Amino acid sequence: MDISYTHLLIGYLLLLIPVYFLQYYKTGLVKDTLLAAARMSIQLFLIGFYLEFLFKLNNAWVNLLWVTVMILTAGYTVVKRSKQRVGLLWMPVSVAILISVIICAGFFLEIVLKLTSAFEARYFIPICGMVLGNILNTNVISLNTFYSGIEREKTLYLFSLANGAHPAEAQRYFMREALIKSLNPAIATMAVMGLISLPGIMTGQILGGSSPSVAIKYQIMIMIVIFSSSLISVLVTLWLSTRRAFDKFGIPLK
Amino acid sequence: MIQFENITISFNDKTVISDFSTQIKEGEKICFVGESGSGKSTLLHAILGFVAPEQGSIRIYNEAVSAYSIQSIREKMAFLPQDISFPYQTVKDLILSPFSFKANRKTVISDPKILAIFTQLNLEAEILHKKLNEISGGQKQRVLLSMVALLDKPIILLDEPTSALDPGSVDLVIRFLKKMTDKTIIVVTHDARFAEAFDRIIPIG
Repeated sequence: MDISYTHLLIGYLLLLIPVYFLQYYKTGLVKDTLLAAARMSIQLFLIGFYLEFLFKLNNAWVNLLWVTVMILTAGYTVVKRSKQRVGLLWMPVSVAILISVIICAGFFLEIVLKLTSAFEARYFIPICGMVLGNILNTNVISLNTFYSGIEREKTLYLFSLANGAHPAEAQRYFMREALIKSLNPAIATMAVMGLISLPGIMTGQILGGSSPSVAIKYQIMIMIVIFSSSLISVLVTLWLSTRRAFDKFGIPLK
Repeated sequence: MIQFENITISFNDKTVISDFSTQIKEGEKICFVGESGSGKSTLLHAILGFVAPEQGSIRIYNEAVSAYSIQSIREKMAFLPQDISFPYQTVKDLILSPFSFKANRKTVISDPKILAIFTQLNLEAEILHKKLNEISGGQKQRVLLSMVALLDKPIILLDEPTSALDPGSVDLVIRFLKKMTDKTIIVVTHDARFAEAFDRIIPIG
């Protein structure tokens, strides 16, 4: 069922409620909210037209190129948002994301869905997009937690190095904290899925005409793909980033 | 076995250590003394490869401290920094923590072995199973010294190891360290009792 542009505009009126209260409490966020909503709308409209074109074209190389651009953008965003040095970590983080997308989205498209071609635009781009969207947040949290932890508890880190730990051993505690902090939200979400909320993928499929029994299968698989790819990308991101972000004495580069 | 050769170290364009040279023999007990900010802790950090001298070299057992040798050098050391907090629950977790590193796994640790060291440092056996936040600062320092002794490394570096101890406990720690005749020990301290009891004082700054 389509939404007309008129009714879409009516839907925007719902934003008046949060805008009113953000203004009432003088949060300073009204301008940011309106700008974000405007950006979101423009970006989604543009991407909608672009995806229509990609789906019609359905060329595997073009789809691969587009997903590569998405991965590089995701890598850049992760590094910027976690306040790390872009020149140092953009490539390692992008490679980590690429590896997790290949493993997890590849597994889902080739083995679970058993598509004739895993690069079919209709499946390849949205699945990769969903994985990337979730990898973004977990990687930002993990990088932030890891590097701010080492900075804050530098004495503990140096103590471990000084008492015989190889740098990877000294970093293990901070890796554990990064994994826990970045994956806890995903675990909590999985635990209550279906109880508290009906997730977006399932809702979208049902609205698009799928039966609920088909929609939940996709939803379950997507959640497993997202969780697995989050973990793999966090591990590979941290592992690859430590090879660039520490000197040969195991000391973090400034 | 530890040689400092013309070491100069600077931070933010400020020279902290200037043209420092000395030799420390195996088994010597040394104090680094000096005013706050004179670079005493910096010298310990330089031995451990945490700071790089801009001039000069440090040799341990005739091997220059470098990115190539640093891991094997650190595996010969035990180090206690001045102030440190740990994410462990109990005293036993803290003591066992460095023994999970590959370099230390061959060292056999048991409760009787730990308690034997505790006795020498006037720590009660019950402390071993207490939570870290249930012991005093002075007890924590002696627990850390126990851990250092258990690591059984030839070189021990201690940065203000007795800052939270009463005079009686300081004397106990000094006797404990002096008994380790086969260990080379460098202590950064403001406590004059170390200076009196140890083999040599090296003024810094």
